[in-house]
Amino acid sequence: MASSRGLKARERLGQIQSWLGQRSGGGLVWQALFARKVPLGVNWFYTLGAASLFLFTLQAVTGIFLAVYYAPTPDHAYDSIQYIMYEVPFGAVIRGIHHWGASAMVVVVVLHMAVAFAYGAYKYPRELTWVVGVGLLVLTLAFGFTGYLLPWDEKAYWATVVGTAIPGTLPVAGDVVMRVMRGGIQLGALTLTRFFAFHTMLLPAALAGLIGVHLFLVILHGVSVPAGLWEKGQAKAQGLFGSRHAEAPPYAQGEAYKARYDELKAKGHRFWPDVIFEDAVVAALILVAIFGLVITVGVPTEARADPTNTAYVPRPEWYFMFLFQALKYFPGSLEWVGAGVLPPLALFLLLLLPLYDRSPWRSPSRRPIAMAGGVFAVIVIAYLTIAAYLT
Amino acid sequence: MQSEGDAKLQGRRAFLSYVILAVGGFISAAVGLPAIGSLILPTLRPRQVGWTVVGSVAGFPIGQPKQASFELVGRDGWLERRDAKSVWVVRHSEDSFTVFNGRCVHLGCAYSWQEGQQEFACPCHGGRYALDGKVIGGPPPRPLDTLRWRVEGGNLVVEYQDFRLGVPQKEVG
Repeated sequence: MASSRGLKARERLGQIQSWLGQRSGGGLVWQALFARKVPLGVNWFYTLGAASLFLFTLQAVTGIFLAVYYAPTPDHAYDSIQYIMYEVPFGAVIRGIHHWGASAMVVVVVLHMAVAFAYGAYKYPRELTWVVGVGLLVLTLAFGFTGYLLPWDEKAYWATVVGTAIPGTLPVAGDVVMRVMRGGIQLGALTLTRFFAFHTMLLPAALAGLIGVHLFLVILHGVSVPAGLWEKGQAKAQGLFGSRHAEAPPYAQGEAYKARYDELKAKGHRFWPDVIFEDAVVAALILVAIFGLVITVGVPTEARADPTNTAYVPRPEWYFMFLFQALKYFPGSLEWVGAGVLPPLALFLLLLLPLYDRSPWRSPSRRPIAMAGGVFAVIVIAYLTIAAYLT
Repeated sequence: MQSEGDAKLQGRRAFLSYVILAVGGFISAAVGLPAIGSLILPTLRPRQVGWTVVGSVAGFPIGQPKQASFELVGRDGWLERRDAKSVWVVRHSEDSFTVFNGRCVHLGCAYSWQEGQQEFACPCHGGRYALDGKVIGGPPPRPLDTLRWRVEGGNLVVEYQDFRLGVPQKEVG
């Protein structure tokens, strides 16, 4: 009796599933997004993209709960944050996750990009995926910059005074750019509402849209095969500039590319559940690390913003420290070069990387110039960041 | 070979495409122009300038720079804004002053007088100025901004203004 009843229940469940599948098209979505295969060689480094998505979701969810209590106006912002921290049950936990989640997101997004760079994953046919990814990096940093002001404490206020004064030093358009960022000449109520609107509405919408495009491209082209495995058995390039002259692998582009990719894909794992399992483990580890920081370090407390505090030395969040330090090396009259020309230029170079790095090789050992450039950039940023903390 | 019907159909499709583009452009402009205007135009309003009492003349010793803080009442969006502002006053003689805007001309931090070094120093990026406001070190691109002043009924009255930061010329910001 019991078993036949169980069978019946299962039958009923199957019917419901099939009805939902037909009416919603869920089966098609499942096939396209989850029941696909990933090529041979996909490893733990590939979890960084999903980890970025996880952190964005975490920031969105905690951000919504913060917005329930937060008041974006100079006379209430600081108090509303205090209220969240000391009166709202779990308020300090939610703000702590949002605070450390922001830093974690910058770390993970940059690591994700570093892996894509080292693997040469930005090459054919994933050039656009890279370009959209650089856009996602910029939006992530814009989140950091706009979110920073919202607590309206000393650090928030002064870092934003300086952060918005920097574009103000640009020739010609500088003044207008600064005014538009601040909502006027001075930092105030109109700056706060502006930053709040961008941080909680415009940027999330833009980021979600670009993530959609990024994921569509990832699924369209499939994830790249690790560089070493992809070029296994190919002749090694000779010398520093060897890769320019060595014969390209016969499957660098076109039909041959597709044939080799399909071959490696056929031997690979399934996205569900194999890859998702790794993604879930990494997401859980990141969340544990964030909780650890929330519990042990918490959110640094700062005094209410005081525009006349002569003693306050504003410092930006750690991921903007290298820019802060770099500005010290420019004399005042050339500040706009250091602030307004070099960073956008560097970003532009990063954005267009797939367009000028046309070498068909992907392995780091076959791309000595690209790798040297990447390592150089990391060293410069690390040096500037450390120097900023030491002085 | 294209029949006349095909050509007609293609002409009709091209026409409809143009109409769709035009309608899209109209909708984008009708919504976008007011939206962007509301975002940018209010930020371009000029600042109002007024004269403010910063303290009694007797309170400023000759030869010794002294900071004077005061409240500037203005509007900040829908709020009445009482901005705490500060100036550094250098009194040369009974009736001769130099008044500096209290913001470092580099990026707007508040600087202070260093008695030991006999210089103004900014804590943010290490800008340093002499007693006369000239740059003697660090990133500031121009001397400290001087403000217009007058003495009225025993008080020092200053026309407080902020100037564009980080540029070599003193321009009203």
